[in-house]
Amino acid sequence: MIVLDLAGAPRIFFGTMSFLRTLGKFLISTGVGVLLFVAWTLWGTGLYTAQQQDRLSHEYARLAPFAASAAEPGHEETAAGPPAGYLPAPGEPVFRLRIPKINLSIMVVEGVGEEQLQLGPGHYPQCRTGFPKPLCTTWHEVWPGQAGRVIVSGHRTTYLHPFYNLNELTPGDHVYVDTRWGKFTYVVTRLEVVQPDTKKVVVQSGKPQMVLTTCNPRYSASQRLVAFTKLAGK
Amino acid sequence: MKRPLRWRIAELLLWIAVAVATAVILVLLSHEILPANF
Repeated sequence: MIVLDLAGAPRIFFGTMSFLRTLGKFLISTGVGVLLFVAWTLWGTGLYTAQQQDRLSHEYARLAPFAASAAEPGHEETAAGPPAGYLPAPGEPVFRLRIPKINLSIMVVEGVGEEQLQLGPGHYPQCRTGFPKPLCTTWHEVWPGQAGRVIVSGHRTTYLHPFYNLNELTPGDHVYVDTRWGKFTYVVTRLEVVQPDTKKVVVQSGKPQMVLTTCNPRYSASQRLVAFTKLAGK
Repeated sequence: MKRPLRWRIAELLLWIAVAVATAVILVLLSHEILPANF
């Protein structure tokens, strides 16, 4: 015969209820913590970038423009770039990128490392002090206006997400670049989604062009979205 | 049994602290848990 002793049942019941109530509160609190983290990632990081962009804009405005120089021999269709030996330090403002179609006007900095992209879109540098491989090129740095491929990378989701709407560009849209050696206009030729390890983007070209790269789709880094543009004029 | 107001406010602050601590830990770990440069 089974004898049930129910004398301690209420205590066990209330003890279990108390534990479950505390566990529930703990889970709600940690859930709120995760939401705070998501909010910080999506918008909080943008506050830092906005502040840095402000600083970079002021810093850039104080830099003297370079004297106009002749076009490179053999590339008369393009304007010359900055003076030889122009090798900005990591995170230094190098030019302003304007894309009216997606309401973008932002300072581009030198370098595409994590720290530099937190400041704004980054210009792919050549490998030298301060720019370790693989986030640099083995060929000479190409600047807006010069023959060759200028590569600019930017965030899509975090840190002010400058390239959030890059997918909205269509062939024929204008991309304006204001530099210390002149103003240039590029025209979008095509958009392409590629794998992150593709070898199609960071390659050199003899033609004056610029590619803008960012993560794809939004809120993910599984692919890259690339906007190809070509120099249309000064 | 109803708990005193002061006790309930203290408990609420405790859970807020847990939420903030969770967020701070995740931010500190974000380099590990988030893909770089997305």
